[in-house]
Amino acid sequence: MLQGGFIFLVALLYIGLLFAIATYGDRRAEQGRSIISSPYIYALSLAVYCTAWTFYGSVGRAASSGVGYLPIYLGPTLTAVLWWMVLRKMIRISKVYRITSIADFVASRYGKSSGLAALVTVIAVTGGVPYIALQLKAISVSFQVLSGRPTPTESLLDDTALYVTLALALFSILFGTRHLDATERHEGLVAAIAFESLVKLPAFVAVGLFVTFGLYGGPADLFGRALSRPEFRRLLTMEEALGPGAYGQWFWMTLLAMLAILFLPRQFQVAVVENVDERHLRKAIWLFPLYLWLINLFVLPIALAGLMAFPGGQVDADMFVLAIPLAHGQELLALLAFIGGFSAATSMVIVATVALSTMISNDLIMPILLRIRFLRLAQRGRLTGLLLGIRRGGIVLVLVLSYLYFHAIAHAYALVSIGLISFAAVAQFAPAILGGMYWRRGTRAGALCGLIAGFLIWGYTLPLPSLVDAGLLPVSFIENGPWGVGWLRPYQLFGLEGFDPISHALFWSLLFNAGLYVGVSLFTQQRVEELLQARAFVDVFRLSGRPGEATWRGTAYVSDLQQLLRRFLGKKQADEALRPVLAQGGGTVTATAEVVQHAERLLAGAIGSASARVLIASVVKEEPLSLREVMDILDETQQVIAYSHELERKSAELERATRELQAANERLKELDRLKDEFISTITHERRTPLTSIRAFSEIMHANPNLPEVQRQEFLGIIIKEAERLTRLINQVLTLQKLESGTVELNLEPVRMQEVIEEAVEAIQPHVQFNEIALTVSMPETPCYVLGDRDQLVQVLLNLLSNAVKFCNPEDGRIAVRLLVEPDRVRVDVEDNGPGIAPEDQATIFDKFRQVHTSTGRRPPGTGLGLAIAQRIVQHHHGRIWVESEPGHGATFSFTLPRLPASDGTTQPVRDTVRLNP
Amino acid sequence: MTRARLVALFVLGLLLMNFPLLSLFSRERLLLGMPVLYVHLYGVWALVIGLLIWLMERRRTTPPEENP
Repeated sequence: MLQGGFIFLVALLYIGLLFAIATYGDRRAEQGRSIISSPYIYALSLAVYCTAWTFYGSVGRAASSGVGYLPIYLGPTLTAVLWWMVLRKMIRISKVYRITSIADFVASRYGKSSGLAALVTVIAVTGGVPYIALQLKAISVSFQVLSGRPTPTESLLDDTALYVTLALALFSILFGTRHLDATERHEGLVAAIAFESLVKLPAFVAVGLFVTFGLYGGPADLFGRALSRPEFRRLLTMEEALGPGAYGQWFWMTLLAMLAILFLPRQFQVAVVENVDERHLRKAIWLFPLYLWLINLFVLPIALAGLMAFPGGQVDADMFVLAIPLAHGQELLALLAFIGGFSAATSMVIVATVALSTMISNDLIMPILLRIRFLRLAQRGRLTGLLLGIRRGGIVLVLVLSYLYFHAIAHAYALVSIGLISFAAVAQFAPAILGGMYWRRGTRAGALCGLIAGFLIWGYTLPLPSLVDAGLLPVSFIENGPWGVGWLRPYQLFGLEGFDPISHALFWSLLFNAGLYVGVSLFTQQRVEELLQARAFVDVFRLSGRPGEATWRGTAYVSDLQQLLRRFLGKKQADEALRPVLAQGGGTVTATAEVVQHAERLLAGAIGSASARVLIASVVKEEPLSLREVMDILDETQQVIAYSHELERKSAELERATRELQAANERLKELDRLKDEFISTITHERRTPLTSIRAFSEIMHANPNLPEVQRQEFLGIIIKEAERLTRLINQVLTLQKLESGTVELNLEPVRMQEVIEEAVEAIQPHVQFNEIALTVSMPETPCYVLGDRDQLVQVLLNLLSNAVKFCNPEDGRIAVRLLVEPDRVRVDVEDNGPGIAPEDQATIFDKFRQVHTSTGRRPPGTGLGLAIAQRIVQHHHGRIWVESEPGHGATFSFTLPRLPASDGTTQPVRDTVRLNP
Repeated sequence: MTRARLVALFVLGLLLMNFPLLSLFSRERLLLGMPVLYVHLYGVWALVIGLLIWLMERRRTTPPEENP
């Protein structure tokens, strides 16, 4: 066994290390070289979620209810998925309006209401104290287990928890309330918290690895041995482990944890207030769930190993993490585990007390002080000291309350049960906050009614019955209800049975809370301030970055505002914060509305929005705006925003039109270039036949006595050249008709076999002349397309004559194939010519786009055949393309939509081969 | 677009971690030597984390949308 004094020394050394880290963090922040400005530090600080409850309590819960500990971590994982929308909005709102606590967030949204601020603070403190007590209990019990002391000591001075509490109070005071700041960020504190997260995870994983791989031969061995005992088998299934209503309980726990991760005051503190940069969220969104996953990985193995090692409940399952290493003589590992649990507990206590003390001072005490002794307070000198004093008092108060709670009640409860009660308390913030962020209509009255109802039901159904276990209320209170009224039984309110206490409390409290929030909001009117704030919250992304509208009217002097700010922030800070706005606004004597609003926000950062409102109103002469006027201003802004959206839209349209015009211009230029080429080709192509016609005519004209044979020969040439000319002109005309769309297709069902046969027939003389082998393969079953027969023959003819032209002159081969597919027919014309380079394949169907041969000569022909073929196929809703590999011939293919066969069957393809010559 | 994908991932996670899909894995059986319920829950959890990494860390071609 380790000596109690030694353990205590280690704990104190650890706290000393925290002090050192926090001091370093604060010093770096003062130098402007923040060490916490990193998404990793941010994610680690979020892991303050994992407290002693996680470190010790999860194992305890797993020992009694299998995977029942998991919803507490699955819920936050699910919420993290939505953080990019929800948490980012909370951060943005808080940054823009300098909100420094969750109470201030609610109060600010509902018209800077000090009543709401106080209510939220009361709920948060009431819910928070048991949770902090839980940590103290864990520290105390873990100390006892590690030092081998069987029972809690009677003497207060002997109690470790007391000294630890004092040390933590000192830490929180030093690093949580060092100075008053308009942003209320504590870099040193965050650095220490992030460090603690780096301690507790390895510590827990180390114990997990020791148990799983040290004591057993891996997870399979551990599970196999545990489950060979029938009494542990019940931990395997939901129904057995969690009892009846397992899935309902599971769902409510998940929901509870989903809300807790957003609304626990300490989570709000680290996730929102201490956030350095919104973009850190992007990494934290997955890092934080990953952290949870890792720290939970060995919970069930440790629980099972503990159950096997200590049968019959000799050791509290909450302490298995320490007890197992101790039982195996691993004192160092046990000490590490103790430090891990200690770090989990202390980090929670530190952040929670700082967050709660900020609320207590800004949202509870200050508004009351300002109200009671208002005149005197406003005239006193510097108030920084007073504020910090209140905060320090708040820290001590929270810790004292927690310590008392721990001694009075907490010892009777498992860690998890206490934590869940706290979770259920902060879940009450959900309707007011989520509603407030996304629903403009939510009113202060609605939020107030919902919160009060939720809080009362929570108090009645969870902490109140726990007094029975502590012996402060009779058992009949739970069993028969107060005064024997059955429907008031706290665990079966209104007779609702079949729920476990947490689900039951959560259901009723959230039902009344959300119901009243929505219901009352729908029947109450927002005041001016509420209306403005509702809009500021809901539309924060749209509004931030735009100049705020002047929703303030009155007379204010810069010197008055400056005086006020200096009293709360100190001279240096106040002047620095005001300078940019003053420089911008130019106002030196009388303050513009903008300066007044900026000053109010600065003040809100230090003392809360409700108090800031009251204080600003005390130094300026306000002319209250009527609801009508505010509506007008808002409408105007709305119009400006709408107008700017309209402008953006128009400019986008303009840009698009410009792009289209540019594209059209390019196209025109290209067409112009093609036209030039066209004319030059036409001229060239026409001149050749014309030249020969003319030459031969002249010969015959000049020599009337030419022999008849020769005359006949010359006339033959003239006729042939004239025909060629006609053909060229016809092709140009055809193409022109096709392109202008004036061609009329004579559509009818056409049998593709006929088309191919006709085209092959027509090309036959050329094929024979060039000694080319032409093979045709097509199915026997007739297949039909809807088309113009002559035009389709033309397509094929053009492809064939192209193939003939480019065929290998020595050993020419052309293959024509008809392929029938379910909904289309495809024709391939393959040659074994030189092929087409890839870069030419895309343009081969353009007019006159003849591919130049390797000798640089233009190949024979007009260069219109393929263009015509393409246009015709396109008119038939088909597709035409070429596949070729240079040196290995080319295959021109086209497809056409197929007409369904009359008999509806497709017969197997049988080749009919004709060989030529 | 990222928003819609995140919401879809949330719904997916919620479905896989709750009744009735969860009840399919509530069996007294072992998978890879571990209880099937345990494997399922940690597996789905890891899947959600993996998809989150993919969604948040992909090279972004468009700046993140401003208006959630």
